[in-house]
Amino acid sequence: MDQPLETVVLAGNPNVGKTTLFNALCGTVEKVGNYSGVTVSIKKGEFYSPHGRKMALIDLPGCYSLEGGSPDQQIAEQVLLGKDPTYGTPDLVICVLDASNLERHIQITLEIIELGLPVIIALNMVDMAEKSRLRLDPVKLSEELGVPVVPIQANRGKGLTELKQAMRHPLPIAPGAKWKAGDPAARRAFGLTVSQLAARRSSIHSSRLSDRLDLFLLHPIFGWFFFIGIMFALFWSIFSFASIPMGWIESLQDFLIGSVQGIMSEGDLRDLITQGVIGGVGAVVIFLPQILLLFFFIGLLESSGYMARAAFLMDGFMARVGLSGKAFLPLLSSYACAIPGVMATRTIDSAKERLVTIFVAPWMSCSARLPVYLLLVPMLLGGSEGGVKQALIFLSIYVVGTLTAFVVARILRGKLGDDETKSHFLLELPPYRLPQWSYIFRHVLDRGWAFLKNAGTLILGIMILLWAATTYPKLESDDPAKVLAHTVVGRVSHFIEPVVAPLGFDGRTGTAILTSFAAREVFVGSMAQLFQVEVTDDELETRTHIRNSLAAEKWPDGRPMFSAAAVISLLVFYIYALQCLPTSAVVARESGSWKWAVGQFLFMTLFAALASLVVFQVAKLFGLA
Amino acid sequence: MQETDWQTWAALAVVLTTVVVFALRARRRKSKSGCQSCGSDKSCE
Repeated sequence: MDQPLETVVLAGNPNVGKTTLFNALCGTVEKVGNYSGVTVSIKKGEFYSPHGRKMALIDLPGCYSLEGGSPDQQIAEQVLLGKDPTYGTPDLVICVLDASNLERHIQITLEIIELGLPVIIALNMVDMAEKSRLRLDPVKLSEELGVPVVPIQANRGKGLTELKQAMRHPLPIAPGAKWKAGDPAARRAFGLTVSQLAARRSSIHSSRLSDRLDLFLLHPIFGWFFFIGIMFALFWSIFSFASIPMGWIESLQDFLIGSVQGIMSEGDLRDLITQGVIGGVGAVVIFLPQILLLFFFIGLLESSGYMARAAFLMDGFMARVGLSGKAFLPLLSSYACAIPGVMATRTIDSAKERLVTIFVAPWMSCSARLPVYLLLVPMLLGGSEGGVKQALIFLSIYVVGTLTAFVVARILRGKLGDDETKSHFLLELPPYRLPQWSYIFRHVLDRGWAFLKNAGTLILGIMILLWAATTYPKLESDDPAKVLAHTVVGRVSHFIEPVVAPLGFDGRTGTAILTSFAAREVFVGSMAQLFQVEVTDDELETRTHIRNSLAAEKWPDGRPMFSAAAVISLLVFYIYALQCLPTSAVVARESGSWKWAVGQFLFMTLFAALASLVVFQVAKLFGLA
Repeated sequence: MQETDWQTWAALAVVLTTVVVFALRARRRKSKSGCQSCGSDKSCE
């Protein structure tokens, strides 16, 4: 019979490198970043000791003490106190400490020692400490606390062998507290004394590079210029750098279509493969380079330490809408995906502030909206790609979503009233660090693979079904409009057109919107199929052809169907609509109620429809339709 | 009666298989909550 695995727990303050150590020991790619609160849930993995013994490793959210109030800290406390039935009492706790901040970070270790648990200290980021002229004495620290101390550099894998050696059997025994246990003042005084003995600061004081950079990056005026500049550069890069790999994907798509047409005779199966599978799925996959670039740049911002600065800059602004800077980090995370954004609200102490942040998080435009924006934005500027204007429109789209989120948060916060637990924004500004390139590339590949997997499963399936719906039942006629009107899609479009027409859309666009409730990016493939985009042999033609085809569409009275007003109306719909079932599922779990998730879905969908209606009708008044 | 060529039958078989796979996946994936678009949060607790 298998023996239960020994449980090793990683604990410590936020942003000390626990998850980096977890990834290094278990070979996983759990999310890391250079700011507090990246890990908000328990991560479980397995690793082998040098003696071949399999051990369970648990990565806890960071916490400053065992008396914290936010949900992520409560999770950590429950495990350390042995109150979590899933994990029981830990067999060993590895306290990860940032060697540069021993005074502050040693306190949680002392609290864990008071619990009577066996402890090993992993003294992380020793390179940074030495650079800031600290003379570390791990032996002294070990003697004073009575626990093994191992200096490590988790991001480079240094010291891991020594750390594993320290976990050899028998496991270290629980040390006794050398201070008056349970007395916070005695604990603090002891921690201060020990940290001064174990990390001596050089008498020569020099301001760190991080401090000098912060003089500019956190400046009340220049800091904002830099923040806006960096966001603009991000969007400009997404447009500019991706065009070459997009060309490769298009060439591959053309080649595949040409090959199928060369091998197969005309018929339904050939149409299904060329129009439904390659055309429909290809219309979405073509945006893979931009998705990868977005995650790459977000990874750079997260690992450099700038995210925490952005939250610091936003704190004053956030206070005006009834939230704190703590709420800004989950909102920033939501630009990549709303799910980790909603999860990251666990760092917020105040329950009501947390609910409000969860409610508005999906309005931060996530990566799934990117293909839709990339299809529509160039249509506003005559179809050409790249350039400053498109980057500016892109930036505006993100600003519109964000500002609406803040306004709604302000109103909701006022309605919910004050909280019993006040949320205090205490932000530790980490030093700027060079990005962990290997992690970023693995993370980007992970996300890219997930995007492709989704394209090869969910989107492929929807494209096949949509092809069938645009093909059957068949009508023998030479008029393509009559043929389409006879199909399932034709009938559905005819049915919903009166509802979507005031928003500036015809029935086919309405149908494409309906299909995108499965996943937003499906919209692009659906539009490609519903408007019968033909893939040509000419390079760069396919992608622009979708837009050209849409631009050439006309209403029966001869007006262009995709006027500036209609395109803006579509963009507005996609900025606001919540078309993501997994997000609703996570919202229900995190808020503890399906009512909150259903309410959010209905509110956002109705809001999106109303906003589209208003925008289109106003634009029509100005002659843009 | 008009003869339906093999490509039509094959295309219909693909469509039918897709419907069945979707139905089976919907039953199996009820409890999962990760983002399919980007793979975020596959195992949050």
